[in-house]
Amino acid sequence: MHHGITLKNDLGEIETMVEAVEGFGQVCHLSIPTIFTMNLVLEEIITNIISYAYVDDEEHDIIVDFTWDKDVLTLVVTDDGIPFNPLEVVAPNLLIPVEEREVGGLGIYFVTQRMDEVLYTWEQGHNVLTMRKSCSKEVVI
Amino acid sequence: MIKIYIAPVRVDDETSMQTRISLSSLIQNGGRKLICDFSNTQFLSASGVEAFANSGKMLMHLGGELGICWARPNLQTMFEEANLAKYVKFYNLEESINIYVIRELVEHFDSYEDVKDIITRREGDITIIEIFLLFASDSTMGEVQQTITLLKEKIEKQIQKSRVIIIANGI
Repeated sequence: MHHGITLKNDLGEIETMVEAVEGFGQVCHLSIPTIFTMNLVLEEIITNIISYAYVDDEEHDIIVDFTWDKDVLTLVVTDDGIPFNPLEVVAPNLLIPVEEREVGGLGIYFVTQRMDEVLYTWEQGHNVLTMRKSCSKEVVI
Repeated sequence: MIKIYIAPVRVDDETSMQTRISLSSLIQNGGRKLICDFSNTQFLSASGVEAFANSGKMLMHLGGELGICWARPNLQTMFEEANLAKYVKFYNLEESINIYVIRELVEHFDSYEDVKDIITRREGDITIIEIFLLFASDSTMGEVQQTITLLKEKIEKQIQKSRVIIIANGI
């Protein structure tokens, strides 16, 4: 099962993303924890892109592809913002008090913790982030 | 002073700023024990987790506490994953219910003399709350009934799928 959506670089588009995630989850009969994870990782990544990836005021497209195949969920987010590899963001130091932590690292940390595999590539002027998660052992609640 | 904050359905990057402002405002207005009601909350982003943890940390410095009740397990897990659970206190079902019950009882403290006991139990998906109230011996039946009806209605409205039984006794 495959589904794709195109979002504009506007935070109001998060609502569109949420609706697409819920719809895809229902069609593929995904568990509530899987849908929650999709929402979480996409919200963190897309919010980052909208907030920091563009240096102009122009409208840009952010493409999100969802694939559910043989109990493996694959999410691919493509944007034409400035080159940015989120995997190079220094992981937050969870041992220091909250007010001393750097802002922003926690979202990427959640993404890498929740997904089995996260890959970044720079392809033809686009950031491409591919995230995979195997859900075969998940208990549906 | 105990203050209640009803968390929104989604506490994401956009709404977490409003959450920070609301929590700060409650603290500035004297709130030292904040109870954050997560019963409607389905989604929490990293910035949402940080918003609650920061307020919790601030309250700890002031000798207070930020409590979270009715949180779904996946939301509670996020605080633990981020090592931020130490700044908030999660309440279980019975504790969460008692917080609401006590709040209502405190609001109407002049309608009865004392609270003897509060017992909470579950029957299927229904929460049964038994409240044992003591009334002054010169209270009329009408006054007692009026207090019982008012408390029952308010608590049952606050707590989904609940049945409140109030047992009245004279001192």
